Amino acid sequence: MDNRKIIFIGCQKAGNLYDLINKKLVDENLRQKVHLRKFYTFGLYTYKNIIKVWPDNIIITNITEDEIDTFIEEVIKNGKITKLKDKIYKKETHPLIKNTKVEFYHKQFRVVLRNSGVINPEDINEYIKRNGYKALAKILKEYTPDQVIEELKKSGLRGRGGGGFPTWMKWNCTKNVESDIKYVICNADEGDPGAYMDRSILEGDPHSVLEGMIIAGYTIGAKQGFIYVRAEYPLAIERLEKAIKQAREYGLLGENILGTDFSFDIELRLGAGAFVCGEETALIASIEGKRGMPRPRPPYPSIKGLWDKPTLINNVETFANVPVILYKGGDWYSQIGYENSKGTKVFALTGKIKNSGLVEVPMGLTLREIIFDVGGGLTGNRKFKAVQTGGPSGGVIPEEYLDTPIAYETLQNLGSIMGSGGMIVMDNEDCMIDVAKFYLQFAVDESCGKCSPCRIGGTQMLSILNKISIGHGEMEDIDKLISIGKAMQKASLCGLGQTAPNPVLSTLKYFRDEYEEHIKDKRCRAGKCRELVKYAIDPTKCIGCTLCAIRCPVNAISGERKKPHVIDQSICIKCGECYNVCKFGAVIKE
Amino acid sequence: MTHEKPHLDNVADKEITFYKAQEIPLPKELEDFIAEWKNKPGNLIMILHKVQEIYGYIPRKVAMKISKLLNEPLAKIYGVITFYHLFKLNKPGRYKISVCMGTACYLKGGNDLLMELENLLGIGVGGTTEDGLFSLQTVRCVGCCGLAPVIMINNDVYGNLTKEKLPEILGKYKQEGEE
Amino acid sequence: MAKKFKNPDELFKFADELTKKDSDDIIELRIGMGTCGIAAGADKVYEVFQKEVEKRGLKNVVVKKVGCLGLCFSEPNVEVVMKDLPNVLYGYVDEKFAIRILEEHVEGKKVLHENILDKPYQDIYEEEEVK
Ligand SMILES: Cc1cc2nc3c(=O)[nH]c(=O)nc-3n(C[C@H](O)[C@H](O)[C@H](O)COP(=O)(O)O)c2cc1C
Ligand code: SF4
Ligand code: SF4
Ligand code: FES
Repeated sequence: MDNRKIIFIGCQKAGNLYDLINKKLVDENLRQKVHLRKFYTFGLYTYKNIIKVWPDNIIITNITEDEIDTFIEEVIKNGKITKLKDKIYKKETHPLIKNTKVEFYHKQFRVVLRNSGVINPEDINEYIKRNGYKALAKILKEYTPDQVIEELKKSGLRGRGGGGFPTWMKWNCTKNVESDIKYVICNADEGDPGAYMDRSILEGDPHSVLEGMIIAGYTIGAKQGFIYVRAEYPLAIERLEKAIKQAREYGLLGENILGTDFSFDIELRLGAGAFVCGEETALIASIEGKRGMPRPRPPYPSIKGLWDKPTLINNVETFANVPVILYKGGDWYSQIGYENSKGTKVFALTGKIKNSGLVEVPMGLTLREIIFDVGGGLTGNRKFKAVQTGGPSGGVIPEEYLDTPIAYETLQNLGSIMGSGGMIVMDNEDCMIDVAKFYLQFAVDESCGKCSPCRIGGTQMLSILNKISIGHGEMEDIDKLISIGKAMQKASLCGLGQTAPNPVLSTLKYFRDEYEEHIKDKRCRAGKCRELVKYAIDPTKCIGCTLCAIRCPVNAISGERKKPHVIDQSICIKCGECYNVCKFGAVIKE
Repeated sequence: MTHEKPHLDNVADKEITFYKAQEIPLPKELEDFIAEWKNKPGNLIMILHKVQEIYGYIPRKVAMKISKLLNEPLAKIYGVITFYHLFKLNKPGRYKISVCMGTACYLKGGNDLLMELENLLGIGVGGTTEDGLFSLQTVRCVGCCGLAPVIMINNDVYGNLTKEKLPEILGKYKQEGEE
Repeated sequence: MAKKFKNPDELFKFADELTKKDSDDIIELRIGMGTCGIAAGADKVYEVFQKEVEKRGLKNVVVKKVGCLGLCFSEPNVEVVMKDLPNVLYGYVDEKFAIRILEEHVEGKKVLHENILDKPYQDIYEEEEVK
């Protein structure tokens, strides 16, 4: 990123504020100095015409057309805001509420999680009270399938399962295939090993997913739906079962839904702990009761899916968006978001972050805002090193790109992916080789073994990484990693193998020096790679309390009481016990 | 309920039990479940889940009986069982310890917990202690990354753990198990 | 209660009736009970609320299980919704603090100033009323 200012303009109907500012800047020959972006109101929609200035992180609200000159003068030319000072947005709290602990929700915008935390998920009436099933009723009353697809198209919704394929296209394609039997499948086999967005949606608002699926059934002409949910999610399963039962009692599922001649029912199918089953063709094989092996596409499931019938398969979060879009309209939805990524995205924000949890933000918020504003920064105020998105299929993003707005394309350009929503923050104590190894090990364990690029390539890459992490790496290994990785990306049969090298390649891209350090200097600066760390005692800090000597399992530490101790490197097994027990910070890792 | 260890390599044993297996009675709950699912396509995985729910693993005899009831070759059933990590062929301990190895837990020291548990219990991942009390396994994210690192013992979640806290937790179950 | 809607309009009518039935004096205690809330002890807090509400005969208080509020780091979380006071979201609620919420916030009508997390988020459906 260059250091130009980014001006995000949020106007309620993508109004003319953008055009006016754009024109003014061009007239004044300033257009090259800034990036201009359109952006829907950041959940602050009681205000009109909001402008966010980045990296200053200032939000100015209710700007009028007359004030545009002042804005350009103060913000872009001088960088000093005086006249517009009163319009700078400050978080409002109720006068009765003092000192909230965090500003967690401030930049969030909950569309998918609209009901989660508000309604009792086990009571259908609560869902209906919050406009639930109204979208379905409206559609059955007055929409043709094509009109539903038209709304989806307007909304710009794209798949939230990782791929980001436009949802309307998938629906349209499945709808247009002639067949007496079609199926709708909800992919709830959340595979990313550090994420739980789908689980929370199912636990917090199961009816929104059901409603989305029923609408899909009506649109494409299916009578049967399946939810493929991980067996490891007992609470989600229980709540889904209750929700399905209640929806049947109300005539919202089953024969003749809402008295119309449309019939649709949903059944649960449990996964059994195989990551590859999140891949759509493997998932279909698994529902059919077989080993969950992917098969080549095409034919795509929309043509030939479950039991060879046309099948629509979408992610949980994708379905949960559908009722809102149809209730509030595609135009409403398309105002939220950024360029070609509309709407919001739920992330499981975890790792070394203070406010770790589930967040939903409009697309286009920057990574820095998510990590430092929503997430409150790093635990222990340690130094940020990288953020990982997309789980085992994604990559790491270093500090210099933190001002990137979140969107499918922007993340892809950085060598990562949006993925299903895992977002893991890492600090100085995390070793990038170790992280790459973790994800690759996962992919190798989960490879179904059907095709050799994935099976063999993955194992080879892993053994090279292992070699590097114990200090036996050679410089050629780096090139080997890259060439095997590229081959896997091209030749693997399914997404698992195609994306498995991403964590390695992206850490190599941004942290090559760390790889080289492991190889040349036999050093792991994070102190994670056990074989490479050396523990030593700083004689100026050691007060000779003897604790470490007592705790050392192999008696490698010696020294007199109240005198500095020393570690005998030839005996030390690098268990790190001394490092953990010393209360004076005298044991150092190097 | 009988819990015999399956003898997978013993051919003679296999043949005998295969015929015998056809006669073993199944618990009513399982019989009803199979009756309900018998004619639905793609039922095998759901039935195996039920078997595991009842027995804690998939006993060989039951797999044989199901092979007969569903009219599916035993090899196919085993093919499915071994493909999915969740299905177990051995009886687990009374307390199933699952160490989360999801990303967040891994970064916050899940591996240290696992090593400490291996030390304390004297078993590796996939093993069961001799007294049949504990078995050890790893799982992916259990959805409480905010509490990382996390372990689960049966259905109880323990979060924000350090390895120092483990002996006390194990002790609690040990006591309960011996009573 | 098996009520089957016979046509789409019945659903709209039913939704209206549900909204009308809401009386103003209902006080809602929303307890985040997703997996991670429960792991952090939300089920115990839920029980305490139920027991205490009954013991104190607080007829207009609804103790409600809700899904994940997103703030996994401060579980268990409880949001109090009542007339004349802003919605308040408390984090790190244990059994003792639960009782304080009942006594001081619900019965005493005073916001407690400890453990308040962020103001609950803007609701997408409130926008309609704003307009
Ligand atoms: C190895 C692998 C794992 C996947 N895991 C998931 C998953 O856990 N959940 C999911 O929704 N999609 C997953 N997908 C993507 C699905 O194949 C599919 O694209 C998605 O369910 C389509 O839904 P969407 O269009 O709503 O995103 C995975 C893909 C691959 C290759
Ligand atoms: S890429 Fe890997 S997981 Fe996918 S089909 Fe090939 S071996 Fe199986
Ligand atoms: S524990 Fe620390 S202070 Fe005590 S003897 Fe060891 S190094 Fe010195
Ligand atoms: S990674 Fe362990 S609970 Fe999520």
